[in-house]
Amino acid sequence: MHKLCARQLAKARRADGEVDLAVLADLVSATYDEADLDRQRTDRAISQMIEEVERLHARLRDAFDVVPEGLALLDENDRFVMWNKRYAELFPDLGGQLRVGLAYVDALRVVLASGTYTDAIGREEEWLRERLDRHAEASSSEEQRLQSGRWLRIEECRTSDGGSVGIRVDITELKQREASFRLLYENNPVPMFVYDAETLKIVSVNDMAVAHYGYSREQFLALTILDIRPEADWEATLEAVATTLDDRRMSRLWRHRKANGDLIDVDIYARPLRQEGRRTVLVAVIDVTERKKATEELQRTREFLDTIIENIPVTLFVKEPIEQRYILLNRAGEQLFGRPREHVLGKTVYDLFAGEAAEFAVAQEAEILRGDRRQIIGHEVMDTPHSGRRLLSINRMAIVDAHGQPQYLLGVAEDITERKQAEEKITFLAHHDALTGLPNRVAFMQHLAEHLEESETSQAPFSVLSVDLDRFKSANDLYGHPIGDLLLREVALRLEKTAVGAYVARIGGDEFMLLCPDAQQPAASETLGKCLQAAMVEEFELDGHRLHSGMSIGIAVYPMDGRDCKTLLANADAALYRSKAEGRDTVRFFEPEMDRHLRDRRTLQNDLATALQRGELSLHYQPQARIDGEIFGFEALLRWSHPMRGAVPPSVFVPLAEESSLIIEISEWVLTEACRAAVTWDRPLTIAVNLSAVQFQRGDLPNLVQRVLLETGLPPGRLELEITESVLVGDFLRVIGLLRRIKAMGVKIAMDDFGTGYSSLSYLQAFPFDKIKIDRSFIASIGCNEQANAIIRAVIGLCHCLDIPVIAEGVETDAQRDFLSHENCNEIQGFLIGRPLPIMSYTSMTEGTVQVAWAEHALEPAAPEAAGLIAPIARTAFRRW
Amino acid sequence: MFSQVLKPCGDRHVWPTGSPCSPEDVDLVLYFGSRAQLASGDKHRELQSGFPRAVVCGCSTGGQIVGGAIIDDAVVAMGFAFKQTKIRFAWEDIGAPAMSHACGKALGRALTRNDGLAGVFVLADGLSVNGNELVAGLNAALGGEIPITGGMASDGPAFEKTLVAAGAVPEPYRVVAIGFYGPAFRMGYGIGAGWQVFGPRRRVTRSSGNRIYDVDGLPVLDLYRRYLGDDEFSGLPRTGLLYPLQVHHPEAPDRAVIRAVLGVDHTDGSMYFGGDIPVGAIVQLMRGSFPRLSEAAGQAAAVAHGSVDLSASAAVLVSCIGRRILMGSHTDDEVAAVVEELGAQVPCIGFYSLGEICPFPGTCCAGLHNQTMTVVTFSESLDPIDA
Repeated sequence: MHKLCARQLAKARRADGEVDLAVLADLVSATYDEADLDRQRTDRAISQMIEEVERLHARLRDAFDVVPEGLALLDENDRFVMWNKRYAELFPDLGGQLRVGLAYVDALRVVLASGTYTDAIGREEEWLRERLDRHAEASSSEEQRLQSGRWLRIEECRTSDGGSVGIRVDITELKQREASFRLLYENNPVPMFVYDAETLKIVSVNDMAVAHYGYSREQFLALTILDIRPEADWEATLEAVATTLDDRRMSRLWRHRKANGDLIDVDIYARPLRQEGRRTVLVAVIDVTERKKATEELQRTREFLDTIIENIPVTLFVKEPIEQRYILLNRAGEQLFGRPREHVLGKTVYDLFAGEAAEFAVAQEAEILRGDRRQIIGHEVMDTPHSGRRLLSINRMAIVDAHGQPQYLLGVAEDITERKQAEEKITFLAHHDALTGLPNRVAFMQHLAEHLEESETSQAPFSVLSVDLDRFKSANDLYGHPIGDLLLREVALRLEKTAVGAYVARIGGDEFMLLCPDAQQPAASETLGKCLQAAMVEEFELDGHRLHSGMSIGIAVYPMDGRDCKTLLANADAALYRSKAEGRDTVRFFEPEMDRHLRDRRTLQNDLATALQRGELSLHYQPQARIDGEIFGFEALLRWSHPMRGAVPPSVFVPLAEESSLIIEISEWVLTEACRAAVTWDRPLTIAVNLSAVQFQRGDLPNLVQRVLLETGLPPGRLELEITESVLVGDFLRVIGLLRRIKAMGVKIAMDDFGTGYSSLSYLQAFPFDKIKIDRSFIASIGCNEQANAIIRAVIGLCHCLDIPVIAEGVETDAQRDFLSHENCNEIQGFLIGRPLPIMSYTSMTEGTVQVAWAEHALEPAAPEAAGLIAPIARTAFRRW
Repeated sequence: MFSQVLKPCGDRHVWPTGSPCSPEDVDLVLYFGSRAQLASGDKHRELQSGFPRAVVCGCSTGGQIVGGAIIDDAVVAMGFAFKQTKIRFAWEDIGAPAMSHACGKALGRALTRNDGLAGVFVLADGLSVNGNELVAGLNAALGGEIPITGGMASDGPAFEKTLVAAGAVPEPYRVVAIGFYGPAFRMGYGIGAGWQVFGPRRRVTRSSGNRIYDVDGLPVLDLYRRYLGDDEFSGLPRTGLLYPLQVHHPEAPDRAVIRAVLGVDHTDGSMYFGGDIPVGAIVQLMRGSFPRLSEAAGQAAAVAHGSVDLSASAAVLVSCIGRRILMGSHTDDEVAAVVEELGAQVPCIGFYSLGEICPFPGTCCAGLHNQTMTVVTFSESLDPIDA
């Protein structure tokens, strides 16, 4: 009995042992219901399963059909179960014969019969046997060529249920690619080889590799990839081989050894391949030996240029053209910007500089980038963090590519602050007087020209004032140059202060020029002149010295005194001369007559230049006598006989000669001529010759004296050279030195005009003069002026005490001679003894001992032209010749 | 140890006369009954007073097993008197299913406060507790080295409320873990299913916790409607127990668990199961045939029997309510198969549950199972040196 049935019976059995049929029926009925339900569930599950399986099958078939390879499933009896569309397409000869249950061998026969398998033709049975043998293996793979020229790869694999899966892949393209690859490989212009990744042996090389390396193909195939490398690279090579998994270019350069032993630098492209089941690597080699050399050379050049860029003292910056961000800045630039380049690179000008400066730079750069201008050079002011405000000369330019497109913006900035300042200083100096700071002649001329131009339009009058200090030379001589300089500065200050609105310039020495632009002429000029003079009234106190300086002023007014610079200046000068001539400390306006005087002077100066050559100069000799009347010598005096004007007085032409350098030449001639004449005399009389102060400043005076003495043969003791005190003022020590050298030759030195100048006794102490000459002005006053008598007496007494002989000049009367005789004066000279005359006139004196018979007509009338011709300015230098 | 099934005597359960020890010696009483039988608490009080020293625990079921038979009309109970083994228990009431993991962890920690824990038997509310998380929490606390067995309380086909008694009258939301301490104690376990997978494997494409919405992009309810037919579909969730899912977790695809249908939510088209099923899990429908299910139950008993070095002194069977619903009058066969394997001399009770707790075969790591027959054996070594 069924266990369940037994349990139900047991459950239905009542306590009395009887079976309760109703209960039993219920239990059995429930069991039947359960069985029905279970069957229904089972049926439903089965139908659902079938549905699922069919769906899966359909899905599988769909999946099969989308596979690009031909697929076929065979059962354990090698009969077709399933295949995909592609499989059917690959074997069109099977046509409709392909069906479930078709035996594989039958299918093969059908295809064989069609001649599709060309390699099987004529040996079909053998072929079939081989194929079936392979089919029986657990897995197999082979390539099969078809009659159509296409290639199939046939892969078969046994399944766990004894069936098999067959895969057919069309590898025609692959085969073609292989062939192409071989062609590409063999004929590639790049050296290539293939090595075995396990043994590292080179298994093939292309023609180019043979040619490039110099190994024969046979030699190559006997080598490993280590053999063509230096031993030092082996380890790195092995490491690289182990990691060559993907296509890639080696990250470093390698060295390969050619057959001749040369090492070459190569770039390697390696690509892993599988060849006949072996892991191999295809290597393409680019010989970069030359390129590397070139690169290194380039690198060296670059470093060289970098060093230059880094070290030039000019700021150099480069920006990219898109956003104009800094990409290069040299050291000078860091200093200029006052920040390290890390804080500059990558930034724009807006990040670094204030708005206005930045805007300016950006605008310029935009102009360059647009191509409006290739280069902009300009000056810009920049506020730097450490060096304050700097003036820069910035040269901005675009560096363009081959198409003219800007690649970079280059900027070269030179700090020209100092240079500019120096230029300004030079310009200032060129136009200003260093001593007083006033504009100089150049500046004045420029200003005058500009003002003149304006006035030509407006016709507004203005004036030029030529100003000269009175007795500046004396002050200079007396107190020395430092005080003279101080005086000029003070004067300049007072001029500037006084001449408000006028343009004040120092022209040279003690000459000043003013331009008075006031149109109220001549009143304004006159007022100004007066004011200027008034400003000079107050004493100057200079370094402890108190002194006065008057001022002479000449004025020329535009347009009446001249319409051009030259005329205006000349006329102002002419007026100044007149002012000086008229007693100094005066203001004179130009008058046309003044112009004539000046022109005369200039003509005369020109004539003097040729006078010597033309023989117009000559010497007159004036006798010098002892107080008892004995003639002991002559003073040589220069005379100019002008062909047109007749005799020109020395007081007129000597200053002209001293103004130019003519005086040197003339003096030399005088000395030579006098000595030469004296030598010819029978009697050994002395000859006195005057020296000019100019001769002490220029030329070698002692040498000249010596040369003349040698040339002429005059004994030095007969020559007496006369100097005035003014020679000693100035470079006193030098002059004393020169005098000592001359005196050492035996030549006598006499002090001329004693009493008129400073008459400094210190001179008498500093140099042992051979004679003192009392000035004619004292002699002329003898008898009229007691003071003059006293001075003469004192001088003679002084000289006697010092044991220096005294000679009085300008002795014209007996009274004068008597006075002098009474006062024990040693010697005399003057009309009383004899006038200056050509030596011919004194032959009697030079040839024998002559006692002078006192002349009766003592006075020589003054030359009528002298008064007008003596230039006031020359007075201090005036000498009697 | 000594154990025996308590003898029903009228409404009461008594310690059979002639036993080698007295009721005072009993350490543990386990009892199972329908919700209706337990709800009043009278049965609990009766047992606690009858065995004053004993830890008394139990739960509501979907059918009780005693000896080789299944009964619905009476409570079953068994007493355990250990010689050396100490018993401690811990319980927690769970507020929400999300607390399940924490609850498991707390219980595990409570039990490991004492040394020598050798096995844990768990009874838990079958509807309010996420059994997966509960076991995971216990594993986390116990380190996965102590065998954990037990089951989720049931209320038969009602799926409304389940009760658990833990030293006090039965209550819903309760979980009790009973710890067995000492080197002499042995807990054997075996698990058998006997279900067969059928149909294609499907991937869970939308799920949340233990709810599945879609498989292979289609509503899960449609799948069940197709297999159940309209008649049985209307009987869900009870009829869903006939077709559990074999679930391969996406993170542990080699380990399969069976998940029974616990409910259907027509409002959102979801079905919920006896354990969490994440998106990506591979699931396959299962169905059972009477002979296979019974056979598997017998095998579970054999495994449990062989898993310890001592013969069993007692056995507790926890089988799934789903098996009973499917097998109907054939359910007795699986119980008979177990008893046959254990031997009639081993006292044996059990219950039909909403989830079985037992280590996965071949491991000590417990999991929550559905649709299985789980056999737990208890024994105690007489000589402690044997331990």
